[in-house]
Amino acid sequence: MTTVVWICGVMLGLAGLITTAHVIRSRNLAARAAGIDMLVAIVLNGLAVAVAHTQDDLVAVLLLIIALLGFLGSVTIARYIEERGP
Amino acid sequence: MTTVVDVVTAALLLIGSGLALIASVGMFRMPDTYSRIHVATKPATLAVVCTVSAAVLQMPTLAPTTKLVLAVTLQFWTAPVASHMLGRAAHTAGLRPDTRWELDDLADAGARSGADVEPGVEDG
Repeated sequence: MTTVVWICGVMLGLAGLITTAHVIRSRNLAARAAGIDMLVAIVLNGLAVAVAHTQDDLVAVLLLIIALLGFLGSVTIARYIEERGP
Repeated sequence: MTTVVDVVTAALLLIGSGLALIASVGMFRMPDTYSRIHVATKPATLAVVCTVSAAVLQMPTLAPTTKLVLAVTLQFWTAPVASHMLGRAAHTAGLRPDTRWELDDLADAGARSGADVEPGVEDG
């Protein structure tokens, strides 16, 4: 089980690095917002792996909060793009 | 019984993390913003469902299961809304899809309703 959690951690870390590289490289705000949306999803995945490993109730609450905050962030960026251009 | 649950949990965790990795590679390789938004929505639902059900299998008591199921339900409701808003905002702001995609339903809708459709902005 610990081995599987390590493999998942490495995969998710790699995914986070690739997505961060995309966010830095991309040339307009909408593509960046999509990348940041993706980063939130990767963080959610990592938290779920942490819940499966540690079986800690507090991390489940964190997962719920970050799911909500990611949605709010995406919608806010979308409103700004609509007002000010990409 | 415990070993069966462990094996299923490990498989679900690996599937979820692998999906996130594949989606991030797709994010890097896709040509324009709209296909990137399309890619970003996949791990937000399918991968999260896989890893969260693995967590529920490891911890099948009432209180954490309620929180995790609530998080997944929230994700299922909000991820399509967020990506739809992002795509519509990018289109309103003047970003046009890659010329290889032949369908642009929002531009057609704008042309039908008489709104002016400005020429496309080059997208990286």
